[in-house]
Amino acid sequence: MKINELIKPANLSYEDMARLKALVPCADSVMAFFSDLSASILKDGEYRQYPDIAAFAFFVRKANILKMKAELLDTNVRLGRGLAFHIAPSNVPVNFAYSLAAGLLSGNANIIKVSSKDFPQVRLLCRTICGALEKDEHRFLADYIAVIQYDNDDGINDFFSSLCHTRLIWGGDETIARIRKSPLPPRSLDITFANRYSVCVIDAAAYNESGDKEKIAKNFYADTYGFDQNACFSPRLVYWMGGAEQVAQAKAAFWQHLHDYAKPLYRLEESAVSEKYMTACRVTLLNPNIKIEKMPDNLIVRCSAAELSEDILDGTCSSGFFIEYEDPNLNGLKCVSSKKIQTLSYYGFSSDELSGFVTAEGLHGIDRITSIGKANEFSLVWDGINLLTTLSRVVLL
Amino acid sequence: MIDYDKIFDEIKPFDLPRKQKEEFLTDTLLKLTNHHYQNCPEYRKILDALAFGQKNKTYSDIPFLPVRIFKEFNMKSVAQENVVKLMTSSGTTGQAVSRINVDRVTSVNQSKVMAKIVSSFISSARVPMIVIDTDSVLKNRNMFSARGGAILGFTMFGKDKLFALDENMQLKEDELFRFLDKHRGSEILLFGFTFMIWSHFCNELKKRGLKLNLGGSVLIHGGGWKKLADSAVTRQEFKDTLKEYCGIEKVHDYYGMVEQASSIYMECDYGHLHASSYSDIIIRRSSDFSVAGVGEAGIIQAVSISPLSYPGHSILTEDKGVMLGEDDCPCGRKGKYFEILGRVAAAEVRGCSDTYENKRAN
Repeated sequence: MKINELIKPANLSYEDMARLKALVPCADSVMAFFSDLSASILKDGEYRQYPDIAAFAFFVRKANILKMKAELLDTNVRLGRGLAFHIAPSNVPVNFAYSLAAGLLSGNANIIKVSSKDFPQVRLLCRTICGALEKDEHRFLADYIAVIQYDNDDGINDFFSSLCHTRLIWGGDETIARIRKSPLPPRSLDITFANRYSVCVIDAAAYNESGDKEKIAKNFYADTYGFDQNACFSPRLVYWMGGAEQVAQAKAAFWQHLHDYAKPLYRLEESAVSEKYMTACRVTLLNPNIKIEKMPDNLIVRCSAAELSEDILDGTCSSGFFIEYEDPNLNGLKCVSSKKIQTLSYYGFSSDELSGFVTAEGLHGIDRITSIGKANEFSLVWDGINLLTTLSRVVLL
Repeated sequence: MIDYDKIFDEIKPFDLPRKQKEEFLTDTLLKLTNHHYQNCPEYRKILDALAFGQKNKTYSDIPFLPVRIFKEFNMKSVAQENVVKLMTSSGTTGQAVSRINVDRVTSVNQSKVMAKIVSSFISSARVPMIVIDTDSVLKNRNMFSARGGAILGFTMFGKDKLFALDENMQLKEDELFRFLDKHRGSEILLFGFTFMIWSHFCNELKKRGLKLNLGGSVLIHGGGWKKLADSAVTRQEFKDTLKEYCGIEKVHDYYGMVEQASSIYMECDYGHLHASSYSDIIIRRSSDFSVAGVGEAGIIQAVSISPLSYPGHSILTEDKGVMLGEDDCPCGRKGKYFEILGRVAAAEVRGCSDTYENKRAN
């Protein structure tokens, strides 16, 4: 088997990892490890250029873990399920670290396949994780962590799948279909993260009154261009709520501010230019009454849709491509909120208002509601699944 | 509508200076834009989405369709019963191919444009011809792959023609020598795809230690340099080999695409690719699609007057190029001349999906 081992327990085989003692969720020893890891990251100057890693460091600091523990864990006696096999995605480099945190905090040993792409974030983080594991009190946790790379190979997928108690498949529909060809033991569980799209809803009147349009642009940028609009939480549809005049005014200001903010920061690839133009034409041909908005350049490509449909976001692309829709109310969300919609980010609403809408309408999609700029924050509840409880089992008393 | 007969009677391929060419192309391409708008619902939808109005425009203002649209959608501006051939790009297995609907008028246009352009590079209209390929690519007459289409386009210049390779891409040595004997002393036109000429002709001559007497002949080749560049073969080495083993001094590369078949861009003796009067190249800046200046690299837009049966008269390719000049090439041909810089860098893997180079699936 051709496996590149970035982190590997020194004296254990992968089979041995499946037999390790399970841990209780949010064990003190595990929290202490993450706390030290967080501190090492935050004091290491090399990480300054990677805000995504800094965000991870904040995520795993003790206060935040305690907060998540209080919110997400019930009072049942719990233990990790055993060995978790993670297939991390190739679009968000630090995702593997969050997946590791979810696996370890819920009490499991972890084998994590990271993308074969050479992300500096992955290299750096692995180095710091290894450093933290060298401390005496954390050394035992080294047995619980393997980070590996391999070119996709069904034989290797079969091997790790046959060992694991939980399999977390990030990376979308194709990856899921592929990995699922490898059988799991009877009691093992698949947690899958399918292809998802996200929506941003803005109350035009509230936006027009806002004195902080630059900050809103910055936040929207963080959710979209910050990840090359490639992450499932990055909105591809901007839904404007309001009357025609209000919306026209809001749109003009919003895109202008975003353009000003993005221009010096975002590097637009030539291939992305071709892709976005092709996508605008494709969206036009696949949907009724599309308008391709005139923009000063190719940084932002916008298509206004006169109506929404369940599959309007199929065939769209990343790198700064947006579909827009306007309506005096939220009813259009009902059309688009199929199972495929993950995050609803908002401006000018309260989360209660929007969750009230989602529950009243019984929508099949939308399993996260966040303000603009927070869509990119990871949570131990992802795609509607509480990872702390799903990756552990209840010992019923 | 467009009087193609008049155009081909009156307009020579490399004689139009800038201003006249601009007037001619603006007039013809705006008529074509209108024609496709009226007759191709998909084209109309895109122009409406772009809110394109025809008033006071020059041909560089006409919207371009992304070349990939011909892979994803069936674009045509004539009734299906008028489609006489379907041309396809030669994508590798599993890749989507462009599907180009050609009617009789478009087909005639293609032949005429091709004849006009190529006649500027060979001494007479009908010469003996050697195709460095196998005739088995022409088997299915209704499905014209880019490779077969280009061969057919060029073979109209041959008054006697030989396919120099058999169906296993082996050199037909005996037939080749018989053909050369028969046409000793006359100019011969050789045509083929760059990579195949190199691997199945040049390398084979070297291996067998054969030298051919093709002095005074012309070799035209196309299909791109990528494969040869991958095997580290330079343009100079390609030309030198043809000279050493065949005595051919006139070697012309060309640039073209199945979406505008026959509107090819031939390389002159100075190594420049030339736009003819019937087509043009506009280099676009990727940042905003504005027109790039001479010497500035960008994405290639190609326009052609030929396509009447499908809306392919203005296309944004996925190739990069740089304009070298206009009307002032030392070879004497009018019009723009340029250089190809390769493909727009392949798109990154998008979305949540990891890449899969299937080991089991394929």
